[in-house]
Amino acid sequence: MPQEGSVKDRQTMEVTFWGTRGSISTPGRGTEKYGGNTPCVSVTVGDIQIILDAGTGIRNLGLEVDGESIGKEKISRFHLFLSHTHWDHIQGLPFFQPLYEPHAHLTVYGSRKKGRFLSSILKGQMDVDYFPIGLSELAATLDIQEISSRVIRLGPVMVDWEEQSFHPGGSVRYRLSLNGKKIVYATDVELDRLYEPTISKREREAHLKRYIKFVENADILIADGQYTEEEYPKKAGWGHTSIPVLIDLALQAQVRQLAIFHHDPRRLDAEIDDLWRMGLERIKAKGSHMTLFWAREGMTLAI
Amino acid sequence: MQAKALVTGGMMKVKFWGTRGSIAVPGRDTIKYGGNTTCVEVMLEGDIRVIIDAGTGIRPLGESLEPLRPNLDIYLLITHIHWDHILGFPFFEPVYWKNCRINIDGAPTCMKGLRYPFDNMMGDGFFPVKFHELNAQINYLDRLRHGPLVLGDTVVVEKIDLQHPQGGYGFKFKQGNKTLVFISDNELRLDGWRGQTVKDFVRFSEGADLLIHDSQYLPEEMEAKKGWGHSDYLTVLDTGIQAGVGRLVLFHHDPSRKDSQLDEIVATCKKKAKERGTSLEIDAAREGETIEV
Amino acid sequence: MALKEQISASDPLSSTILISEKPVVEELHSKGSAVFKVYPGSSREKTVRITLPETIIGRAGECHFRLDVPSVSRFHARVFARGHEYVIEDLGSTNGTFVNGVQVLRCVLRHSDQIQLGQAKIYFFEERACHRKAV
Repeated sequence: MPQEGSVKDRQTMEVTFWGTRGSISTPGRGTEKYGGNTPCVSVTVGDIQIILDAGTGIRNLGLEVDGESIGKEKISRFHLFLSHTHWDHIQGLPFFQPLYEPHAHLTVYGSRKKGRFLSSILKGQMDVDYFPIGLSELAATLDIQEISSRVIRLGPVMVDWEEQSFHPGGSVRYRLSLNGKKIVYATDVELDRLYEPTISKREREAHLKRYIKFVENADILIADGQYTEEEYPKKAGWGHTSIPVLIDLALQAQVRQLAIFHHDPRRLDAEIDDLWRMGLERIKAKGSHMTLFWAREGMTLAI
Repeated sequence: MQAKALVTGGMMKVKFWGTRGSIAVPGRDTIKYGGNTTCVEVMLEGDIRVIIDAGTGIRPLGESLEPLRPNLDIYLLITHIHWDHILGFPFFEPVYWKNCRINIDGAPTCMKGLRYPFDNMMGDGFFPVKFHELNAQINYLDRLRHGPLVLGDTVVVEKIDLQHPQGGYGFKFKQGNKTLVFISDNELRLDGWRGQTVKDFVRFSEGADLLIHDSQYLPEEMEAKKGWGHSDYLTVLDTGIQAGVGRLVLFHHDPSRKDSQLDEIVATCKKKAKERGTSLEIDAAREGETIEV
Repeated sequence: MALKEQISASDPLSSTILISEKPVVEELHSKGSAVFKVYPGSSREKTVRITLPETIIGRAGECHFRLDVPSVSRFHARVFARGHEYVIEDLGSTNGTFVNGVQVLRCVLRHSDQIQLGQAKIYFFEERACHRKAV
């Protein structure tokens, strides 16, 4: 098949959405379009395989990796960055097929938890009471790293990170940079809290400045937009952002593409379609050319 | 306490809200039989409502109970506390209703399991709400460990120990002349693992109108999956035939099992049942389906 | 035998036409599970049924579905079947492949998705029981 240009190299970051649903997996017809698997995004740069979060979507990623290996060298080195260890972001890990292959090597990166090491949290998930296999029984090499250095280099890709304020138990946002292009993954944070009256103006400005600095000019920002403006008041304190606040901040940060992520379990496809139409109008009204979409499983973008 | 005798069985309906084992599987390949993990609703005489297990299927079940808000009095029986049977609990809306009463029984570790998603997992709590702060009244009955559990006036629930790495219970519901048996996460083995044999399960299910049993694996998968606590569909079929049950429903579908494959499994079982000259009705549990016993 | 459909350069495909879904869906033929539509709902509507496991779309004569529009690359994209789904993949085109306005390398297609190849817009419709109901 003639191809005009190839993207299978280390110059492009291929972003694929494997799970875009927040909180709990939602199988069924009504969520087919945007998907029911919980968060998992892969970023492939040639032979470098980066994974952001291990929700149930990681299971399909593992199956695809296995399937693709027929006839060629199997990908066996994976780098998994966890935004946090809430259940919907780690529950897929025991179902990631490469973990059962002896030649595979997975490094899991996550934030240092005060008083609770990342490895003990992951072990707890595979505690014999709750799951048939223990973490130590996996065939692959698994190393768990609490990130301490500001930057992690994976070949030509640079990964930097920041702790996010306003999510129960904390969460981390990641930025992947290659050749001047940036992908920012900033899910599970309650940006609406910035506008609470209890926060001083100075504090708000400091938080905003920090957020904008990290996400500004991103080629793609993948961010949590779980609630509508009407829903948010009942869900204040739960750690997620409302859609209008996210859109406005993304516009302020002059992000090129905004992928809204972490869809509420109750949000059916038809409703997301409606929100998308309204979101596009909001952007048009502000005269912006930002691309806005609701992330759906099975999309791959080249950055 | 003795149950009142019912001459006929009265209402006994089973609705499947989650039929998948291990992990929820969204997508087009699981539309027919479903992708949510274990949750079954049993509706009995006298408005008695029993939910078995709190897999992801308990979330849409909770939504369906909205018209009854805020007054709800239900039983929740837990077979065992593997993730796929408990992780839906924080998403079961009625736990946040003030006038809701949830009566819990089942495997001895059930309360520990149901608390876990709330308090422990995430270090500082998965939800802003802690387990002891839930609005609903949650009562642990702790009866099944010691003997039968009587529901209302007419229903008797018995348990059987599961052949499963973490133990657990299977349940039998008797109402008048109607019997329903639910056994999930059970490994039917001829060699008496954990002190039980297939005969014990045959005896427990004897003459049941409906037997719902874990059939996660294919016969050829059993060698690799020995000790995991699940059964293959042929052994389950055999058990159902031996027990002389009226209807057999295969349950706890493997995450990799597509709808078309389940169709084939059901067809194979039906063919084999016919060859053995039995009139046993066989199906695979389908999410959204209600069976009247 | 490859199905060949051709849209000529004189058709300006750059304008978007709102889809009136109900009448369009009910006109779908019974065979084939998915179609492309150009100008759906209008008098110029054209339907191209997807019958092959892989359909190449582009300006070149060899393409299964030929779009003779200058902004479309010779071999612009391919649409292939994967299980119960269809997936579109850009073949390294000059002007890109967009699904509902988002530039993609690869994307699973869903009912009523708008696909833009260069300046050409086509729509993807699935014939499944749930889509026969009015939206």
